[in-house]
Amino acid sequence: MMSEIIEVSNVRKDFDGKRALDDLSFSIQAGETFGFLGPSGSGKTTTIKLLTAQEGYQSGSVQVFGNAVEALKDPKQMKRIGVLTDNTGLYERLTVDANLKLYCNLYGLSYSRIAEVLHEVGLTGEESKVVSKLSKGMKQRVTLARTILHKPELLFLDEPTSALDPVSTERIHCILRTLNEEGTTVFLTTHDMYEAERICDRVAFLNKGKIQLQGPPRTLRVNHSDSSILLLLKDGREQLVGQNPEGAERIREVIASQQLASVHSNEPTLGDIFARVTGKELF
Amino acid sequence: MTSIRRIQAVFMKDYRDLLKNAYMLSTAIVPLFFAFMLNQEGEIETTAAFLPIILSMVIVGSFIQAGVIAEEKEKNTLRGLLLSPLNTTEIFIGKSLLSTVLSIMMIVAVIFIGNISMPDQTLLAAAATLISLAVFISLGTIVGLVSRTVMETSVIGIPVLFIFGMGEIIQTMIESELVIDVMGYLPDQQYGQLLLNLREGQAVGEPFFVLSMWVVVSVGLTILIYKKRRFD
Ligand SMILES: Nc1ncnc2c1ncn2[C@@H]1O[C@H](COP(=O)(O)OP(=O)(O)OP(=O)(O)O)[C@@H](O)[C@H]1O
Ligand SMILES: [Mg+2]
Repeated sequence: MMSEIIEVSNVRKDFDGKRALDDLSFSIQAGETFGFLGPSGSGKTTTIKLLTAQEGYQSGSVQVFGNAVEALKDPKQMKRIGVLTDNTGLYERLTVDANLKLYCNLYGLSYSRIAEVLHEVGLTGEESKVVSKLSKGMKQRVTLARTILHKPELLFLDEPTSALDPVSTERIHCILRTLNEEGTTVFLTTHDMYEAERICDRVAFLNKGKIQLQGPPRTLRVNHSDSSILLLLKDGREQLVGQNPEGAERIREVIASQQLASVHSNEPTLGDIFARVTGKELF
Repeated sequence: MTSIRRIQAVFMKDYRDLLKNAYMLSTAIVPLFFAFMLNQEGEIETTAAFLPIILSMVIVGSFIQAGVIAEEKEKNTLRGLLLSPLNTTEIFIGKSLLSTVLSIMMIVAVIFIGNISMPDQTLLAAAATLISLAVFISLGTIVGLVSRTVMETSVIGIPVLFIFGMGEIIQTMIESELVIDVMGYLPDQQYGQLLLNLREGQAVGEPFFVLSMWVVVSVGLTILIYKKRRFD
């Protein structure tokens, strides 16, 4: 079995002469959750469109499931992926059930799958509700239910939690983790560094159509850490000390004087690293 | 492979949706009012006799179709369909079926309510009606594809209504022979002429041919625009 599910090399994408993606290269292994982290306009949605054969590209190569991405246009291959676009819509006048029934029929699934998938997204008992009456977070979970209805091997999610409240976000994260544990490969885009850090095995920083940096969040943070140590004192003050004799002396002092409340490693957040690498904030 | 099940799924969804859509439902019954208003006592000797049928095709075939297509784009549901196993044929047939069925129902109702005297050659008349309906549904699909919202379809759709549905009336207001001649080739005129010829026992080869050309051109154009606009 191929372990590389997505393989992108040296892809360039222009819109009417304007560069949207530049020399993009990355690969995603089966079972991974891979996050594209970038500010607005950096090319996240465009990347998903390329990976799902909604858009062509000028040069380079995009392979999905070991074949050129165009193979996804074959409905048999299309069934292997699930796509939640940044504005995926539901039929607002119809019930949750009617929305899901449509897709059951399109994928040739039995209606019993509806109860299953609603259970997965925590919406059991809501099937007869009209979509327009649901909260934003519930709608997004129905959309997710529709996206995973046919149990895709590979899931594309374009900013799945943007504009959701923290509780709904947490719910979606929980669902995504479960799906990933069950073997689904997930490609998601976000401009939320916490999201990237919490659910992604690896992230890539995208800025102006270019990947600036990629790797596991933990590794990125350790590599960009200046290895200084943050001391929190009992009176609420903070002190940053280096890993050197002066630092050691300072730590000894605060411990001896019983001033120390806690010790922290001073790793940068993904947002800090992004800002350092691109000179830009994530928002 | 084209799947009946998938086409039926889209149709059933559209049907359920229509039942909840007051705007579309009220639009759908407009032709009935025209039929009442234009109720024919005696037999009208011109193509105007068939105006209520043509209006049904424009209002239900074109307008409702345009609305149904534009709404899929406006609400971002079309993308979901495009990323599902539906192929292009299934999307086209599935998305046209409801307005086709609705148009046929309205045409039949309008014929009875308006006392329209149809030709005795029912089969030929029905064939001509279906061919013309295909043209109007294609026109509606095009309007739906180029509109970004349902509201926009009424704006873009009004000229279509005038040119393709009111040719009969416009012709009486125009002086230029040339324009009148050219307008004579519009599908509504050809359809009216065809039914009139049938009724009077004259040849119908030419209008059938012109209408078939309209089908080829409008369906071809629809597919072209669809390929360009579907992922917008
Ligand atoms: N259809 C299009 N035609 C022309 N330019 C486009 C098109 N789609 C995207 N672009 C341009 O490509 C660039 C990348 O856009 P993209 O939508 O991929 O960004 P994004 O990272 O998804 O942003 P956001 O966080 O706002 O969703 C932008 O400069 C955008 O203007
Ligand atoms: Mg985007």
